[in-house]
Amino acid sequence: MTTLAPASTTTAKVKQQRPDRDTKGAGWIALITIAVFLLLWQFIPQTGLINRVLFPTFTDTLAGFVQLVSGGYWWEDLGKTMMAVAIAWPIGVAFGFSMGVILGTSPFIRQAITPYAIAVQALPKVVLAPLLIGWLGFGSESKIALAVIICFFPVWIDTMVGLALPAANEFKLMQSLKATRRQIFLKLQLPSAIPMIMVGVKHSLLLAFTGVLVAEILSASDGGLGKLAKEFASQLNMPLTYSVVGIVVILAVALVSIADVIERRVVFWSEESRARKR
Amino acid sequence: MTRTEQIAQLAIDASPRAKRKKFSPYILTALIAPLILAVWWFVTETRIVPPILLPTPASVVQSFPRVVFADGFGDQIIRTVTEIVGGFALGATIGFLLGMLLSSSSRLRAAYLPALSALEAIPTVILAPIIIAWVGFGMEGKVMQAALACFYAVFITTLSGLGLAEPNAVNLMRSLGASRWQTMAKLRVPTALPVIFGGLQLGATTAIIGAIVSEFIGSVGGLGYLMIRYRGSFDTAAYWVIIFFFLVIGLVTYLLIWYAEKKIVFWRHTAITRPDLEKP
Repeated sequence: MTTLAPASTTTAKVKQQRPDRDTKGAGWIALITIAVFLLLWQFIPQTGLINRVLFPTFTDTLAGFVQLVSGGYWWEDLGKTMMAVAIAWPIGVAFGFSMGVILGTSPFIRQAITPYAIAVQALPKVVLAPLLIGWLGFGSESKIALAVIICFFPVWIDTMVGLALPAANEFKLMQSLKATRRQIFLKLQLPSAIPMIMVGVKHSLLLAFTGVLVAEILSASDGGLGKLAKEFASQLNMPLTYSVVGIVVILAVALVSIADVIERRVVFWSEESRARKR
Repeated sequence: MTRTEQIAQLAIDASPRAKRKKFSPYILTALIAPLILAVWWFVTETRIVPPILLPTPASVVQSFPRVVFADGFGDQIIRTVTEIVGGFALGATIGFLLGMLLSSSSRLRAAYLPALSALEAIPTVILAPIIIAWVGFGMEGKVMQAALACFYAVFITTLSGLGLAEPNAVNLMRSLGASRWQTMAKLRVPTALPVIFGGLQLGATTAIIGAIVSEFIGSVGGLGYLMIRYRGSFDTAAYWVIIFFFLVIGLVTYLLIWYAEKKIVFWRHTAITRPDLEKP
């Protein structure tokens, strides 16, 4: 049968995999690319080759951004979105972790439920969004419910896979030293699983954000950045739409950075353990 | 097997621990499905869960022929599957090529990786309203959305996988006079394939999500469009029939990629996706 794979990828590995050999001039390449991109963004819409309403120039977009930020009304939407993420993420993480511990500590149960885990993974959970909105209404409850359903999954799977990481010999050593199940869990399985669980936790933060945005875009009345983007887009006010997307991008990058810091604090030993494993 | 080993094996077979192992865990697997059905039946019959969210199993089964034999249902499935496959093929190809390009030069990596890593964070669904405004309710928008959703997983796994080849193996290739292209085709790509397949598996899931969300937001056909219509008429049983079809689409995609991996990466039998998980 198929094996269960961890549910997240990580970039950390790529960044440190090879010593920087030949990176001279990389800064220039980046700068020139950005400059060319901005110039194209600015001048192609002006030539009339593409519709300027749908593809506003860079300066138009910048003006839209200033208008949006100085308008002030977006603070409320920002707050609503962030509040939903802040509630849904911890619930999803706690739920996923408990599922992982309950179902992942024994290899027997783990093997038995693997087909179901694959099925849950294969089902795109956003299909539930319209139903949840229909049931819980347009308020923040439906957003939070959808975000929890989407974001608990990687924590669950990564906990389960992580708890199975120690080698058979390590289990045998613990058993021969008369460790209880509880001791094996606390002193062997959990410490070796935590680096992987943290990857899942980080991934689930992004998924919680995605879940909240999907619910906001789909539901009609309650505010939030997703709804703001959809409204501006349906008015064909593209500079403001771009600006909302820009704010979402900045927020997402900030959230990931925060999650990175948390990850590094929690698994301070992980660089060392990775080096040892190699 | 020596005599001592035989005796040791007998002792292991006789221990209670070994006996317990003879029950296959898949017996439990087979028992879980009826249990889920029973719980589903119970919570819906007693109305613990409202019927607008979850209808009874019986009503879903009854709705099945009504939904499947409705006019044009086949067209809607084909439409959604085309969007998913098209978007996945597009996004995975771009991700793979970009991963290959960046892995070939540490200068390009230093220049572009920081910006591209930020893509990991971006929830691509926020771009759905823009894409629909650009190209309308047709299939192109769904293909674009699915491609955007799955691009990153394939890109980052390709990039990290191509860097996995042992320096010694690379040196050996070089000392035998292999060209850059040969090193790529015969060493780096084969080493990377198990990791890349992990990315493809993840990317396929996200591509499906991208296509659905885009269909939910605005479409003139496809399974997502049908779902919104059934939801509008409070026909939750029909809605769940389509959820079932999405489960089938997801599982078939998973199995196809799993099978392709088994055939292509025949020298490895695990589906572990991350290099840092590999045991020495």
